[in-house]
Amino acid sequence: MWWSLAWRNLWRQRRRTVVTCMAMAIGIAMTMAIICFQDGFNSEMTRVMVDQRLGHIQINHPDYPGRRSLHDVMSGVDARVAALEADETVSSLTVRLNGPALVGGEKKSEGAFLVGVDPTREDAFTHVSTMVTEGRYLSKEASQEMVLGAELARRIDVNVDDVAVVVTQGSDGSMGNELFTIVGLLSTGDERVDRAGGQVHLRDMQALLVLDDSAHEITLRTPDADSIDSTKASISANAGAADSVVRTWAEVDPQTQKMLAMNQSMNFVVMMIVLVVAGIVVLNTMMMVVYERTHELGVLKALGMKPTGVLKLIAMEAMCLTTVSVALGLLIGGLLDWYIVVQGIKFMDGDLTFAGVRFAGRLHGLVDPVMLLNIVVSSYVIAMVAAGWPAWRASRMLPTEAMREV
Amino acid sequence: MLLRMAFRNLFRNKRRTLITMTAIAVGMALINVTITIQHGSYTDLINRGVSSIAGHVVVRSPGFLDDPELRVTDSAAHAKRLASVAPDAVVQRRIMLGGLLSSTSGSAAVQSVAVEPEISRDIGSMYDEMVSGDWLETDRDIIIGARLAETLDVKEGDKLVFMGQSGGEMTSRLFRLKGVFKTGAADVDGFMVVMPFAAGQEILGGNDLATMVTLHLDDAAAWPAAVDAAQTAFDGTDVDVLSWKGALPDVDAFITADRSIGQGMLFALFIIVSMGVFNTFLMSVLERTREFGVLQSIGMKPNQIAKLVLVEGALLGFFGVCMGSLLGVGLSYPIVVSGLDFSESMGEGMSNAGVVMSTIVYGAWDIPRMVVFAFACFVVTFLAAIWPAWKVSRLEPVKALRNQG
Repeated sequence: MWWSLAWRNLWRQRRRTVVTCMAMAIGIAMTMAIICFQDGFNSEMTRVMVDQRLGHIQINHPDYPGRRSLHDVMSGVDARVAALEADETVSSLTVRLNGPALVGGEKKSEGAFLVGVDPTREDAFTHVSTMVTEGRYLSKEASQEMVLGAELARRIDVNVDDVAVVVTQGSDGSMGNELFTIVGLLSTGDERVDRAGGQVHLRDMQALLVLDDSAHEITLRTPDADSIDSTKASISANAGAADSVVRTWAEVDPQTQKMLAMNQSMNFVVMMIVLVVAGIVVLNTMMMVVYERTHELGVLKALGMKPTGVLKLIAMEAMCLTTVSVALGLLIGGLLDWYIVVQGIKFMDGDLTFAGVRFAGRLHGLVDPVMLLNIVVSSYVIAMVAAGWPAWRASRMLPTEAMREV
Repeated sequence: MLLRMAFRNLFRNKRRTLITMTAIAVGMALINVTITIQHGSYTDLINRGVSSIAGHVVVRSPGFLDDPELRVTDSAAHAKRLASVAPDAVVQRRIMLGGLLSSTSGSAAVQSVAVEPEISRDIGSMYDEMVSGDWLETDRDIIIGARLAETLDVKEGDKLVFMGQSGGEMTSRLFRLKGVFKTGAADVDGFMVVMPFAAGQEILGGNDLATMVTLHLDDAAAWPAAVDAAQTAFDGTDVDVLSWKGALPDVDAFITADRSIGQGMLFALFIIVSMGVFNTFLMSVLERTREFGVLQSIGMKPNQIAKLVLVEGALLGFFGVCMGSLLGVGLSYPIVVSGLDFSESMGEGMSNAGVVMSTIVYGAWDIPRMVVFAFACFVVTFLAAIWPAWKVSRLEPVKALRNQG
């Protein structure tokens, strides 16, 4: 009975209700679209920084984190890997040996971040073979092959099938000099790789740096993001992590973690700004509802409706209003999101480099159900707060005075 | 007369007028604050980009984009010619050179910038970010980032060997670490080194080469004239003359993109505010149907009534915008004066489009855009009054009087 009364009241001023609903629905839809775009940005950032570069957990030599020196390697890597892969809290892992080197073609050379990897594990971990734009990825066995960042290759004027000269300082202080065949070019979105990076087989790198059976980092992924901390604790006891330091990706790169967290909180700021403005519109409407029905509410009270009843009636009307608005907002916002996810938004010509990550000029959005729920709940909360004051006023009116109003 | 009536009408329902004005003002103030923060961070980004990796006017080799190793020859002559364009401005030459830097305990891939020490110090550069040691003095000095110093395990006075390639020849050169800088951005602190211009030329060997010759103005806003003058001065030579926009396409593109995303957000706010205003307006008119009927029956013409409603809308818009501008300026003022500290969310520093950004963003007034948005806000409020005004003007007095509204 109450609900149908509130519902019918809502449509007595059809035009006003429609306009109010539209204002709120547009607010919700716009918030959804902005957040969808922002989450698309975040997911791309996560894909490059976390999925490719950082992993969930890293194991290093205890001195490596601060100075990242060539000498801070973990020995007995093969045994460590075997021990870690036996652990069921680890879903996948990759081993990396970093060798900064001068990489040159015939005429030019550049300093590069070369990484020695086990091609099978690295590909299973980062799917790097899908990011090879020309040529192919490294062979499973060590054979003096190299994949090079596409931008770096362009700068030193080399291409697939060319030979690159790699000059670097080995762990014994000697200058190493080695020839590699370039088998593929990489375009990963990670500027450090694309502009100044490359990969060779772990065994080749170990030979070049005179660091047998060693690596700088063992990077692992846990089955899901929530189990990172618990896995970190259990891994520390694993033989694979003996005499080394175990860190989560947030500890390895607090800056990226902070950035992603800031983007998340920006979502809330945007949502609150838009919804508060929409809330003012609702407040206005509900005030009018009470004002124009003063007489009628007085009659209801005179007939015996309690103040709480009036409060309930007005609140329910606001509920109905919000429900219609939210439904409409989800519909419009859903269409916008669908477009942003499928078509993407072209926000600039060319690519954008931000915090070491290259974003395509056309960015595809992402819909986060949790955020969607947040929007819906916040809409209700804000609308109820906005309706609270008029409803409270209505409940406190004296029937005699109210009925005197026209 | 109309104005006075409109005023009084607005005052009759103080609460509603106040709420509507608040909606306009809050929207307006948010827009102002957003614009101020945006403008401040863009200005910072441009200034830093210009002083660290470009100039207001940049002279470089035509093929530079395809091959950053292409350099201009006879750089001293170019510098002289560029200096003649704007006598008060500073001209500097730089060489960018990739290579491998080795100490006794390790080596690292680096990007070196060779600068003229005194000039570079004066226009704002890594000199401002120094945390220990001294700025470049002799040809043997080199300055590196803090992260790189840790990796190579070196301190001031230690030997470093830079190895690079020029024209197919491997060259190495000995340096001594003179000082260490720290920007907070890991990719800069672990990758960049600064060496004297003479040393860079020596590594390249002959021909007075430079990657770019740049002009730095005191008054950044004067760049278009300087670019024009430089283009005339260099007419007929085989070099490219660009503005900072041309030399920093990433920065320019980032600003354009960020601004358009911001614009989308402001647009959303705009629509919501205008719907709120429209709604209130429509209501305030409909509930006064009877009153308008009376006005009509005592001889007021329909278009006068429409005018009355429009004037009310204009007044509401005007005061809402005034209130919003005051509120916006008030809220932005602390951001302009003491800045917003983003270090909590950005860490020690971050690079953006190749430029290190500061963690404290100072707002800057963007008067033209603020005026445009204030005007747009006013227009939108006014537009929201049009339909209600038109509706009222078509009322029939008899029916309107009967309305108990």
